[in-house]
Amino acid sequence: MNLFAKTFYEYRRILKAIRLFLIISGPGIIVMLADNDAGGITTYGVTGANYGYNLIWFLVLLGPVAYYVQEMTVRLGAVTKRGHAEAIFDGFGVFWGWFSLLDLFLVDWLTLITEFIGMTAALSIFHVPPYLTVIIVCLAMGFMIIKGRYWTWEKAALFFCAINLIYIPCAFMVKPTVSEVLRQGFIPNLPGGFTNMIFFFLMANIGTTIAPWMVFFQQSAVVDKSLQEKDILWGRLDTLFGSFFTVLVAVFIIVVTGTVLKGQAIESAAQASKELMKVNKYVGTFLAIGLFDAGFLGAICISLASSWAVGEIFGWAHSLNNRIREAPWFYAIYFITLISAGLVVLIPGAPLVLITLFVQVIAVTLLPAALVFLILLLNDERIMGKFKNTLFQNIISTTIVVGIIILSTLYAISAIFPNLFK
Amino acid sequence: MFPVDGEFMAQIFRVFSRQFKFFLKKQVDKIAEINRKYAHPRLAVKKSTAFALLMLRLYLLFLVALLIYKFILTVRGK
Repeated sequence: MNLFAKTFYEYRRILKAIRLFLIISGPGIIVMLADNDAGGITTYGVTGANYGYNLIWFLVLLGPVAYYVQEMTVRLGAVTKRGHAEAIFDGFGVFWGWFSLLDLFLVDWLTLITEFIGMTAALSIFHVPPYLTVIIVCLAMGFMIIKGRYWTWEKAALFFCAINLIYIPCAFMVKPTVSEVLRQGFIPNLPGGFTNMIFFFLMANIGTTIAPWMVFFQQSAVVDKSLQEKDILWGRLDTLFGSFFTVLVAVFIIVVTGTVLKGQAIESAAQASKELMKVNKYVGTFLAIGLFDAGFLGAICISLASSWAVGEIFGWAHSLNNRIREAPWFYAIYFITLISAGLVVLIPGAPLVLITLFVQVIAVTLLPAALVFLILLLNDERIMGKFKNTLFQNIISTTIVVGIIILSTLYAISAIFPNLFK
Repeated sequence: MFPVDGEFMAQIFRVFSRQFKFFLKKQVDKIAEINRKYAHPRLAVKKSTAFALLMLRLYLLFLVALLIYKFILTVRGK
């Protein structure tokens, strides 16, 4: 074969691989970027305002952590063809099954509230009243899932994922000093030492990077998308891209608020947007748009995670490829959780920002239990065959579980004995 | 147009409560069916592992209770 023919052959082979990747990719990128939800944007924004660039190193470490956790769900979903809730019921029995399902449902609902908090706060900057935001969002989300199938829903979600990258140009627009970002952000340090506050922020940042709903969502999405064992490699690549972008967005948000708002008493992303608008109108506006997008993206994924999980267990039709009359309960659960979460946000005087931060911490506190089940399932050779966890994967995932439990414990101790670490 | 009196309302209530009871019974039966289906876990988890899992869950729930307590204190303090 001459050089031209070889080059053309290689070009066609690479193009085919890219096309295949684009077809198979979706669950990993969506779950990771949806993880930069309204609660996440709030957490990163407030982290930057409180600690400047000093915790960027921690977020960079969370990227591989998120990848290793989510990659396990890809394998489990592709091999078992079952969602995570069903896998727990089947593997561990009814007690753990119901425990995990109710746990997921409650945490998902609380997280959905934080998405609405973010969306209403973002649009209130543009003088849209909260009740109108709730109505618009519920209608838009309803339309998205009723009118489409899984593929159309996925493409729409990927569009919102692309908007999530709006923070990247913001970071360049605030003109940070790169050397300072590198020096302060990439050398591990804990500003102020071991305090109750730092543990809270570390926990909140973990909670916003890896959450229990992500485990359930990605596995169910892999099943709904009908990925096979031969697609696992592409699923891994999809998850890797997702984890890269999720950390990238998080770092850029911290750079934005850490450059402009450091030392200011910022309690929410919406407040950060308003303060940034005083410095640079476009940066503040982009942050507000990004906050709404983050909340919307999180909401469309989290509500699906609950509906899929409940549908799997109750044996209802539970696919986005089913119409409403084919899967009435699947859609009913979706709308009930969505609308009830939206209504909570409209309660006058509710401490919304506090709820946002605490929900992240509660989610990460309950995460080890979900991860332990995941690890045990991935180690069952009868179910997983050649796709079971390797020793390296077990070491990494066990380290993650132990690390989160230690951090949760340290936070609890610092909450009870605030002076202990001074 | 419609006689909206006590008897009519009572009839409406009876119909709805019958439907609701039927719906509840269906769900209870469904849950019982799920419990039967998954009564025998596929994974043979040792008693020590099951005990450790239960202790982990209870410990994590204790931490969550602590978080909720801290949340209430913070809200009251504001």
